[in-house]
Amino acid sequence: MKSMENFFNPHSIAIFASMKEGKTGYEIVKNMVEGGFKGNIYPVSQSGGQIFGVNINKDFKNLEIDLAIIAIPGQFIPSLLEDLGSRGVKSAVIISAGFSEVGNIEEEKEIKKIAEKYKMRIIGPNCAGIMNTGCNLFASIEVRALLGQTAFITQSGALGGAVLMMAEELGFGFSKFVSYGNRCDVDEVDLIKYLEDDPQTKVITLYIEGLEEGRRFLTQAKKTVLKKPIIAIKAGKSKAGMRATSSHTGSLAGEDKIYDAAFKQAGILRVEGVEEMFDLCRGLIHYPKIKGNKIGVITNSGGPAVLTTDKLEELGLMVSEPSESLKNKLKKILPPHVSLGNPFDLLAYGGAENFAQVSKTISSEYDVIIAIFVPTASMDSVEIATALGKIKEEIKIPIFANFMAGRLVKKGIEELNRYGIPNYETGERCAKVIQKIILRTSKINNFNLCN
Amino acid sequence: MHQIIEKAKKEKRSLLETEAKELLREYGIPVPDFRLIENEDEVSKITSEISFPLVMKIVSPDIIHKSDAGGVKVGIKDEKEAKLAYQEIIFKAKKYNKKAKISGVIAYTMVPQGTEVIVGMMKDPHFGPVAMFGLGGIFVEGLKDVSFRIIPLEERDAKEMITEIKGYEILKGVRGESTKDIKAIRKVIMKISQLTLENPEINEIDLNPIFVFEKGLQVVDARMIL
Repeated sequence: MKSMENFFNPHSIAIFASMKEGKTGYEIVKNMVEGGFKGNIYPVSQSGGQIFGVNINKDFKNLEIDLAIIAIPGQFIPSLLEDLGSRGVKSAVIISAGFSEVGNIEEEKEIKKIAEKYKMRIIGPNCAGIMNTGCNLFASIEVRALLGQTAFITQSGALGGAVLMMAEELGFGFSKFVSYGNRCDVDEVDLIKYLEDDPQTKVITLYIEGLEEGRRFLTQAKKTVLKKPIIAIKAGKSKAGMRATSSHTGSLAGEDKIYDAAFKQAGILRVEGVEEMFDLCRGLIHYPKIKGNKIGVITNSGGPAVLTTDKLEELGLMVSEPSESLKNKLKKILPPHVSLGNPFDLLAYGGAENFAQVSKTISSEYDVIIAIFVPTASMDSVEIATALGKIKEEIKIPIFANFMAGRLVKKGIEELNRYGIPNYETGERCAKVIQKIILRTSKINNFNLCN
Repeated sequence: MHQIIEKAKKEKRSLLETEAKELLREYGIPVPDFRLIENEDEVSKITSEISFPLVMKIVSPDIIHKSDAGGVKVGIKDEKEAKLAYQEIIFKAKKYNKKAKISGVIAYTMVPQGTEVIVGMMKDPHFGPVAMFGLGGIFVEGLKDVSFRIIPLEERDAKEMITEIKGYEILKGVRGESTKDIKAIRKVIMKISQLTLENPEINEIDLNPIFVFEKGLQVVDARMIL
């Protein structure tokens, strides 16, 4: 696995590309230097000179290279790879396009052959590069990812870039980013396997257009999900089954249904799109498992709680009533008039103290708490957030928040983040996240039982 | 290679209904008692061995849509009716397709109507063999209410395949109907996984319909494509 390690933790990195302003090489060196990479950065180009205070090397004869980033025209790549291979370079990322994605299969095969000859591992071609925020490695043309605990592996470079931009807006970080393009060598399976043991990564996310080796993927994913959650976005849902078949079964087996089955079988959580992916990641990072499906909803406002409850029940989760003994306990701590059923509606009394007390009291009977808060003139969202944050450390069950909305609760949400309580703009989104985490938990419990 | 498959391969055809059912029987998947009648003289002997009423169907590698060829007769009550049915099926089959190679007529004891389900297998270019389950009839045709899993299956996969379809409620019994034998379905799905792995020459399987009862089930029709 040394070559995989070289991709993410290289001591020295050489960039083979045009270093002219606005060109790929320029952008990568800029990202590497501005990103604060601690190892050696070696731009290599015939132009010579300097770029961002780094010397441009005209050749690489005297350079010690762990990782090569290649963005030169395709026809020059085979001879460069030969050179690198014979000098013992074990890892290369090929950003250049114009290979199998445009029907140029031969040249891609040639690259693969050279890689095999020198036991060199290759990511790409036709990709947007890789990042490891843990060591400030930003060997990519895309916007630099913030530090985080989610690894994102994407077949589409453009979508990868878009996700990074969206993440930046949300303040959402990544541990690793890999755009693997045409995957002539390193594929999803290699990457999942590597990330399974990566201490910086808590959640693995995938954007997949199609798998070449479905069975290999399934076998690896089944193992990995026992250690960390995998989330997948699979494009091409609408494509109907287009295979030649004479059986009934064959005619019913659309491509998407097979993927759906494979994901379920492996315990991979499939999401509709990027928004749901972020939502689920934010939940899973703090709560990789939820042990049951009894949800306690605490709120200071009726409407949002009803919407949340409706969604929870639609998803098959239980918003069950508290036991008589729990009701009696609640009676003692709450002012009169306050409802003692689930959702626990604190009405206008819903201050920080009440939120904390009720959370603590009901934690004995529920598996998850959703705290819904809509600010009023006299109630500050930060106070509520702090109270919930403190109680979270005391009780054993996950707390999710639905603070509504916008700039009214911005400060409160920041405070929730500090305590590791994920907040969702709507209770419905929160419900979907909880349902998926419960699903994953029961799946892996089931896997463990069978193993 | 299983000798049934070897023979079919040699003759460059898929399995006949009788062969498919023979294979199912070997794997312990319940099929109604059946015989292949290869000529008219065998009708008396064979009908004395199995119980009426019978279903009789054309067996030919060249006729896939048996009903279209007038090749299906149901509710046959005695030997006399069986003889007539045999003649009619053969006559219509020859008329339907002059060049069709006719292996004979399958006769099996009619099974009382049960809840129809379908179990199948197909091969995906990236995932290999995949098992399918669904409720039969309009549920499969109209609603495409079916579930898939990649073979080899584990018990939990078979269980999920059954519970995940919308029609699961029907198997559990609605409007006072009894619960159907879900355990027996699970067993068939698992056996299909095993059969597929042990006979890689088979590319597609349709067990359609399977009649499921309160206790047990019967595979009424089976197709296996090489």
